[in-house]
Amino acid sequence: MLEIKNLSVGFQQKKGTVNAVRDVSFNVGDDEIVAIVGESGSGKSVSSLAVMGLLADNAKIDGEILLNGENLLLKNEKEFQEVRGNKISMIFQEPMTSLNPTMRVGDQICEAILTHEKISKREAMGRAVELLCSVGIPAPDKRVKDFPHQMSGGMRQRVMIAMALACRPKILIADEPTTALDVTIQAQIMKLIQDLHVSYNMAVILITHDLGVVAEVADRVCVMYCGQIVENALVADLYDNPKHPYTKGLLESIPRIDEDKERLYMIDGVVPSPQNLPEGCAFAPRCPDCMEICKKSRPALVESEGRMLRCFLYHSVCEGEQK
Amino acid sequence: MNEAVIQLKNLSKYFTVETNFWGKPTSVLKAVDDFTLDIFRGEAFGLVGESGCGKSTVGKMIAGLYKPTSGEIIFQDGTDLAKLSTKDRRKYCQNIQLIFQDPYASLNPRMKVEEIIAEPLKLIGKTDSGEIYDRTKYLMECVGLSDYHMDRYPHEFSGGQRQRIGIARALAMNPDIIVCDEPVSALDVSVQAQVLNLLDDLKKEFSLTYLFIAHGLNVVKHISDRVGVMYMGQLVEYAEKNELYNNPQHPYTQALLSAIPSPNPHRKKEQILLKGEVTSPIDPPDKCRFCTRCFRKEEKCEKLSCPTWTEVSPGHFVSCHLFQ
Repeated sequence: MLEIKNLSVGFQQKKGTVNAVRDVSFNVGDDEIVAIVGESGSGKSVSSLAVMGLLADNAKIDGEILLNGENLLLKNEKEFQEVRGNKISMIFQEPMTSLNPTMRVGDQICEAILTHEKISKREAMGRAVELLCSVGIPAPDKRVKDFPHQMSGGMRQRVMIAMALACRPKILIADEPTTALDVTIQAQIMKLIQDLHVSYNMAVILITHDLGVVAEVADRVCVMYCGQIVENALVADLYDNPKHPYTKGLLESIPRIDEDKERLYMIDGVVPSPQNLPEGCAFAPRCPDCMEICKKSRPALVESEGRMLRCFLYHSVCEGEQK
Repeated sequence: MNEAVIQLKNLSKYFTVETNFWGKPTSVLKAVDDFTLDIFRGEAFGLVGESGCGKSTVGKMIAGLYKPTSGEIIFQDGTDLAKLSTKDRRKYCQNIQLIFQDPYASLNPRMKVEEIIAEPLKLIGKTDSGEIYDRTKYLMECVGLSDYHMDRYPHEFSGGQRQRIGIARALAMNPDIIVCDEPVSALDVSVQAQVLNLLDDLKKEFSLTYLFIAHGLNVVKHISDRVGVMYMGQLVEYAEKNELYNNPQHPYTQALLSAIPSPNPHRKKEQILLKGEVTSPIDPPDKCRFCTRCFRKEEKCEKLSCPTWTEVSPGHFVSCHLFQ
């Protein structure tokens, strides 16, 4: 349903352009939960903001974002307004800062409904109460009159979700929805997102850095590193048999509850700065399987055994011979 | 390992929320309530709990940043740190050091790394600049920084490197115990592994004792020898780590462990979803704090006052009415 093709985002700054997202392509099917994982600065949030058309003016966007075949990047601001919040909506990481502190939560949800639909304020308020009920807020008819500061973090995130669902979107983008929450509340919210995914029949793009959350809810995973997708595979495939050295390292380096390890695996070095990317593969300086070719040229995203990989190790045999 | 470095006895910290006309408190927030624990030499004790459960407050009381409302903090030489005046207390700061969560906020941006690490040395009266320089250089080596980093400012470093600077600063005093307050929560997974391994190595090398405070249960399991679980200002269960993770007894620990997402898509475990959220720690009623959310609640839990400790197996303590 949503196709992202060769998306690149650069931010123009005094010192030059910072390429936050480079040549990202992936699809989101009708009833899929797709997770995008990566460390901070890997470009996962920037890609989703590009889909929502929420990037700052100094951003230079290339490529195509197709929603049911329509290219969103060709739309002007007014046309985009039709899509945003209506067909695609987003929930953000910080439920504390993304709600308006001076408005009652009911009014904030109504605002989203009234922007897209011609119904009366009273009807909209009725819908808001229903929505709060469906996201599991107790006594919703009283809670609509609350201000955000009267609610706890978990409640606020539920309000954010209710607001995002207001127009029954086809796609929900959840940008680190549970990072600011405690584990027991995180479990509640993730369960809620999964339930709504089924009952509202919408696709979900889940952006997170927590590989545990991904394993529990997602169908497919895109792993991002330095603004590029390095591996895109089904959840079970990726966790059972990670192929890209970065994915392997990432999975190895999390401390696990169900296993005992004397020492954690470490990926050496640090993420390179986006102004100063290496000439070859961005992961080459930290890669345990680095080859000569990796230092010189950048690998393309190729298909290999049902998954997409950006690594010379898995390029066709002819290139493999250069090892 | 049976010598306690620090003993906490019925430690409490209350914050006054409201006072009446005469300045008497009418409403108190019980951040830490009746906290009793021994931390032994050479161990890493992990303290977990959700935000607002008081785990950082315990750490800050041990480090002397908060003065306890009541209770005792007995240091290994027998002194009760809670009773000391601020001036006497300072002498013990050498023995107890802190590593903070946010490596961006805990380093002075106007000081060079060398000055940051050397500052505690100067504070305890070292004046020989050669000695201070050598010690600083040695400490930086220990945490994996090179000596050309000395003249740089904190903003020139990445998050993981800054955390290393913070660790070097804590090590400078040769402390007996280091309180690590969420040292890796702000770091990315790959960097987190580097810092955790470093903390592990340093513990062996300098035979350190850690009080490791974190909310990430997997991180705590990796680094700790014993783990304690806190809920609303009270310790509810503690045991040796494998015992606690494999055989949790307190309903809250069970729920907490089942809520951790596991990076294994095939393991579909029974998840215990707790209803509701943490209730307010302001003026809590004198009964089990968890009984509003407990899924194994019995009638007696509502009636009885706070539960006391039961030893369910050697070294495994639970504070819950179900076991009494």
